[in-house]
Amino acid sequence: MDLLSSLALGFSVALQPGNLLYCFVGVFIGTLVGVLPGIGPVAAMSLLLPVTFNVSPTGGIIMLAGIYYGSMYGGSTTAILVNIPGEAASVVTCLDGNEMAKQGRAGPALGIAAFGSFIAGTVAIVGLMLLAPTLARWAVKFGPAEYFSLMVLGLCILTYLSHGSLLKALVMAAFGLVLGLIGLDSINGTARLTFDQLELIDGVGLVPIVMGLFGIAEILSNLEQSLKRQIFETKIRNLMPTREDWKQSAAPIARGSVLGFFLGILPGGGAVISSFLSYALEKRVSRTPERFGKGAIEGVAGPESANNAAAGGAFIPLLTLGIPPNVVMALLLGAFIVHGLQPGPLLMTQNPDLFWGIVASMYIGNIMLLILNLPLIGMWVQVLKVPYKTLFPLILLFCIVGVYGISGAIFDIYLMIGFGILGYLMRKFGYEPAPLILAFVLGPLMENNLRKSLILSQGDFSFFVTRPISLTCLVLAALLLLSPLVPWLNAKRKRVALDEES
Amino acid sequence: MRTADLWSAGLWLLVGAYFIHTGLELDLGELRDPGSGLMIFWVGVLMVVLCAGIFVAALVGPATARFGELWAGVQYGRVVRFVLALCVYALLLPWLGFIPTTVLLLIVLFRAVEPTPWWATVLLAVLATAFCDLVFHRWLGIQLPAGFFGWG
Repeated sequence: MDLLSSLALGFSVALQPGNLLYCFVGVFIGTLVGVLPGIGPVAAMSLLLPVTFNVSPTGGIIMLAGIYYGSMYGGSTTAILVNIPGEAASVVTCLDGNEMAKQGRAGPALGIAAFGSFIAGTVAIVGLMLLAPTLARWAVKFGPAEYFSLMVLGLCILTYLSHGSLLKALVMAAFGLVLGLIGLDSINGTARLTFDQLELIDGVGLVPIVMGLFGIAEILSNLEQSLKRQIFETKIRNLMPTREDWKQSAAPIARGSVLGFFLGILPGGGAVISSFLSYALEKRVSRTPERFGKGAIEGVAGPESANNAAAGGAFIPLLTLGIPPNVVMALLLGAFIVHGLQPGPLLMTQNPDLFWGIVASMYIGNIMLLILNLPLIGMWVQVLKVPYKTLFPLILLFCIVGVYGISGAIFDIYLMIGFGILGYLMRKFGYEPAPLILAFVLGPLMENNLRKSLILSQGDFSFFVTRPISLTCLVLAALLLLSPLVPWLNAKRKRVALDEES
Repeated sequence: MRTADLWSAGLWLLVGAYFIHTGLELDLGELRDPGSGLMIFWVGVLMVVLCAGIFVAALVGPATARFGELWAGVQYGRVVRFVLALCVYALLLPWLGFIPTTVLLLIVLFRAVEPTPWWATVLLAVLATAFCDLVFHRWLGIQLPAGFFGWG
């Protein structure tokens, strides 16, 4: 099947009324959670995972994917208008976006963020469409050793790019790996770390952990402080950027799209990192770097394009290799598995309607997002006026329904509370939850591939280094872990972490 | 001395040691036929080594956050009340059912941060619970606990 007929198949699936509705619901909720600080795409997708049980796999995945890339659009609105990133990937947009708003140019800032996001999102979908089939054909050659080494590399990249201490991030990844192994051993049926609890026989659910570490921990962190949020009062005019704005933003949008797309593909990379690197790149190539931080439109256009392109690129490793490159994709992997589907090299040949339906829905979703984020911007501004004291009990309510809805077990609510307290303490002590979640999802896959490799090689560890792809991944992972020993590299990494925190 | 890091590294080190113990108990197997405990054991070893690294870094590194400094200016009351309310909610949920327990929880939480008029609190709590029940339970078919009253 050639590319155009595949795409035509995709559009015939995505344009079915039910799938159009799920796409709209996904991008609408995505924009909403992007606008609202305190609830991100991870928590929203966990919440809506049980809802997808009652719909077709294609509709469910289209909706969850829409939440992810939709949140990238919504995050910029809060960053520009109230100087609070609605979503982690929009942190850097606050710097120049809010300055533009203070200078009375909120309209063009929002406009260029939406147009840049649309262009970058479209570039990423084209990239996904062109690259995924090639990568899927190549991925068929992957054996257990290659999968194991690639997952090791993914975890190492994510921990390397985490804020602050590399050692702490690695501890979190290690803890997540074991957490993923709780329950029956898939090979010999031995119960592991179940503490004689029947509820743990099937393992710990992803949703209570995510809701606890991200949702409840976020609420606890907000509750310990005085809850005061700046409310945007003025009216927004002139959303269309001027000719001069376009001239200044064209190159940053192009650079951000390409940079974000490739960083999105990398395991462990993603929207947050790409937006920071795009900002740094724009500042470096600018002839007037002193304008950055004072309302430079390039500082909005580049990062907003980069985070949307990264959101698109992140689908490639999941759909072609079956390996989630970040936490959001890990949740999407969970959704595939719930529906009895295994993303990977065979997805495109065994379920072409699903694969191309998702790709086509992303084109449609991007157009919906442009409409939602430009003419309807006033509606999102109203959402920003809801005070946090009203918002947090509602977020909690959705967390509870999301957790209970999947398993129907009160035990999972206790788990969510427990992980919420753990997540709160982890924030206090400087431990990041993202490596834990990714390792939790990859843990069983890694163990399975490790054991298969050892059985195939008769216990010979050289199996991992005699296969070129596996060796390349392991060498890269080792270089990343050893890089803090090189002083200038370590200083650079710490600077990126500090920039992100500030 | 970074006392906060010493505390946290110490706790994670204990967790790592427990994983080593569990891995050994589960059977490591042989390399050509790995057992259930192999990965847990080696991840436990890795955790202990990493925690030792954090411990040493905290001892020799520059003085930063002390344990007490992490809690300076924190409104403990709100955090503790929130966690307690959630625990009580989880306890009552199977007995009272989703609707009454959730209305009660929301009333407590809406008033937890700053006083809100009672009528507004109750109205918002009832509306939010009814919305959830309608969307998730009635329309989407998600089972929520009915409790003694059978409301759910």
